[in-house]
Order: sequence, then structure tokens, then C-alpha cells
Amino acid sequence: MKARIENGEVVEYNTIPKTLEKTTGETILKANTLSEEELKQLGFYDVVVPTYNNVIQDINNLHFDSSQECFVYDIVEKELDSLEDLKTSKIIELKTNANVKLAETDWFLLRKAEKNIEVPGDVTISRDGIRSLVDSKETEINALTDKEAIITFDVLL
Amino acid sequence: MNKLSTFFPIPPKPVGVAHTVTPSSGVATCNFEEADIFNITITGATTLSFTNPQLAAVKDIIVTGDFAITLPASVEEITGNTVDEAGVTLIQVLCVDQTTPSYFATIGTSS
Repeated sequence: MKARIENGEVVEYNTIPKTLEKTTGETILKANTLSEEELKQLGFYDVVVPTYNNVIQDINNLHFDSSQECFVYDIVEKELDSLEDLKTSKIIELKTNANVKLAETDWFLLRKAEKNIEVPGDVTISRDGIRSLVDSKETEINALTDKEAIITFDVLL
Repeated sequence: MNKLSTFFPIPPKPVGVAHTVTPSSGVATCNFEEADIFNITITGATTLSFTNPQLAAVKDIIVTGDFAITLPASVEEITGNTVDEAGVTLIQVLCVDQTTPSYFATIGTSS
């Protein structure tokens, strides 16, 4: 990806357009065949995307770095919720997943209530397993002290 | 041949003149007084320059070579397709102002 400054703003280009208009009004046909050097003369430079942790960081403020001769982003820390709020959200997510999983076999319990037909043993075991997994994962979440670890904690059941 | 033309021979309609323009230092100059068709083979990014515009004259510029072609600011593309990087490019320019040179252009690339 390349970018250049147009009317004071950084404009990104996934590909160089086939036709370009210079600030002096001249039109360039087949501009996508221009060499790197020629593109630089027209203000096109590479966009360098930094390595960053997208869980806790964001990139913004694409700007030209004259020392590196490329466009670069600033890396900024995301404004995350407090540790406790993140844990609460994660546990809600976990329990929502558990509800969805349990709902798959809820009809066995309805049938038991309505028709007094026994719930199969493997279903009972499976439901108990889901609940105990939720309990252990909830304990693990509550023990975490790192925001990134909470955000990336796997709550799939 | 009728009687009149026997005494006043009608000259044949002049045929168009084609010139080959060789770019120099990345610039190809088309002298519009010299020809109707300008054949240009480019081996690198080339800027076109037009001289001696003639009002209402239509000139064809045929560019061969898969490199960038820069048109003067006085040229305004009015019709044409998207120019592809590969293929021969035809730039047909109509001079609409001779005093302050100004052109309308139709541009296309052969497939």
C-alpha cells in the first residue's frame, strides 16, 4: 500500500491508479507503470504498518516520516475497561455461551416435566459437564490480573 | 471528369501526414504543423509536449510502450476508456484554443 499527501491530508492507495492528475494539472496515463523513484517524485511512498498488539493497542495518525521516507502509524494504547469490568463482561460472555449449549438439550427436561420420560444419562452428564466447566472457567477469569489475558481468555465451551 | 474540371483541375484531397517522434530525455514533442498522426515509441515514462497548435485541428498521437505518458495541463480528457498499462494508446486531441493552447482529448488503449 502507498500513500501521499493531497490537499494537506494523507490519502492511502491500495494500488496506484491508472490515471493520475498532477498538482500542476498534467495528466499521467498508465501511472501504474511508474517506477518507485518516479512515484516518489509524485509524492507516493510506502505505508509501513507496524507490528502491534491489536488486543490492547490501536494504530492511528498515519503520517509521513521523512527520516524513513515512508508513511507510518502511531501505536496507541486502547482505552480498556477496568479489570473488574472486563472480568464481568467475560463471565457474562461465558454464561451466555453456556446457556446456548444447555438450550440444545433443554427439551429433554421439558419432556420429563410434561411426560415424565427420563432424561438420558449421557445428557445429564453432558449438562453437568457444561456447568462445571463454566464454574472452573469463571474461577480462572476471576484469578486473572492482566487485561490482555482477560480479553483473550477463551470462553468457548 | 466534367467540363469545369477540365479547365480548373480539382487538386486531390491531401492525405494525412504521419510523423515518427523520438522522445528525447523523456520528452516527446509533437509539432502540430508537421503532421496529422504522430507515432511515438516510448521506452520509459514520457511527457508529451505540443507545439504550433492550429485551431480546430484534430491530431492523432499513437503511443507504443507500456510506460507512463504525461499529458500537458492544457489537455482535458473528455471521453475515453480507462487506459490500460499494456497496449497501444491513441490520444486524439482537438485544439479548441490556439492563442492560449487548449485541447480536448479522447484517449483509449487497444486491447
